[in-house]
Amino acid sequence: MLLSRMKVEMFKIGGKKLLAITILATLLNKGAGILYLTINRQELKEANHWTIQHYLSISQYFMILLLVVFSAVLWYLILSSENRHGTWSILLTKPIVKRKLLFTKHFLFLLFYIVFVLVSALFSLVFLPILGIPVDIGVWAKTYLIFIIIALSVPYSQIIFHLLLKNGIQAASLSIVWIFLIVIKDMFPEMISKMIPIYFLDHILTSIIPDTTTVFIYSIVTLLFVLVMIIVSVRKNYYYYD
Amino acid sequence: MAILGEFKKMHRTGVYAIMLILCIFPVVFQGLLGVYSDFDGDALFITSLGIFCRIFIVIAIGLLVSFSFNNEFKKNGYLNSIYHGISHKKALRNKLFFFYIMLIVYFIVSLMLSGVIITVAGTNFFSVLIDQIQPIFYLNLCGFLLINIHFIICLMAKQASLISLLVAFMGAIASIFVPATPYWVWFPWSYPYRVLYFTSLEPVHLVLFVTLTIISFLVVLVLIRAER
Repeated sequence: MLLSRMKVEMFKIGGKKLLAITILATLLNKGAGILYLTINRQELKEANHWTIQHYLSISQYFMILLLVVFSAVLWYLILSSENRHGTWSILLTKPIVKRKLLFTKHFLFLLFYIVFVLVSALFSLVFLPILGIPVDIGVWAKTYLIFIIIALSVPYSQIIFHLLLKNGIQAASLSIVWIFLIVIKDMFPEMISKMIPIYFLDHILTSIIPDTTTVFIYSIVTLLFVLVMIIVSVRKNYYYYD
Repeated sequence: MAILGEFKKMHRTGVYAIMLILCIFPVVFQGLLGVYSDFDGDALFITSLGIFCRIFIVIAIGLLVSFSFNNEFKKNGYLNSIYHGISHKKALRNKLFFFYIMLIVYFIVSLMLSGVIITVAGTNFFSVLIDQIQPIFYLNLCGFLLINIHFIICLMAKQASLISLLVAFMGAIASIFVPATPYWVWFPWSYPYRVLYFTSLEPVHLVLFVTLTIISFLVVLVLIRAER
């Protein structure tokens, strides 16, 4: 049932379009990471930072930045486009249940989010030997597993704007606030920054090899945050009788 | 009058409020940080406008241009202009000049905000303004260049005006890293930030800014002429 509903959602937006955006975002992300590493190759080698942990840390920092934009576009197409077309009122008819429709939208987003992370992870695996960095499958798998869970806090922070504003372009443009917050992270006291969802992954990334308890706590908090956002999006009243 | 009409088209859509937030948020934040670090005069001017010119102005331009084009398609503005005997080319030309005027107003607002912070820090804002007149001029010029680029993208992308906003995003993210590298010359989205550090610029860079702005303006005019 869920699969068929996701198919319908994909048909509405365009499955190929969504896949193309995902691949483009991955390529941009990897391109930026590789460019940064190539330019700073010498400095990183001198500082003994030419290791898989540092490569993944840098690569995932770019991934967070790209994820802000990627999720803004995806939420624009999946959620805000209903505002654009004025189709939320269809929910007032019997055959479509709002809860089911919203869950389908979230699953569709998660599907492309997973594709984005997996393709990025595979690209990393290809680029590591090219850059001459020894590959450690264990570290690689563990890092991306942590990423796939905790980085969910980024798109689910972005959805706030898409729920608050009816216009998708305005909501997408406000994702600059998250990018700004990522850039100025060090200006916040650690106590406060630890509580802001957009910083969750950054806290893990900066510790390179984080301890299991920290990862576990952040994973639980992220999943709770995602759950709250899903509930809020389902409970929201999208349609009006004017 | 037509330019006022362009302004009214986006009135009460929330886009001006967002643009204002994109201006107030970074200028006040950075300005207060500058005051806290005991900066004054020209240094405070550069500090308060730093992140605004680096990231936010790019997004504000992308948002303004994308939203305006998106609004036209959404509300069938082009169709209405034909009904009322206004040619499509003229509507686009009005739109372009409206963007230029909006950008100047936007810069004036950001300068005023920066001026308040500079005055609070105990420096005469007018003396800073006179010192920084050249960077302000080139800041506007580089803003026009970005408007031209995004205008061209919107003209080419037709109904997919989100592409222009996406390009602005990429430009803003890249502006975090590119201005510090020697490759900034190839990247117009880093120009506003580099212009702030005016003394670090060579005369050839200024020639480049002027040339690119003129060329892009001509390209926009040619594309508008080619529109049906």
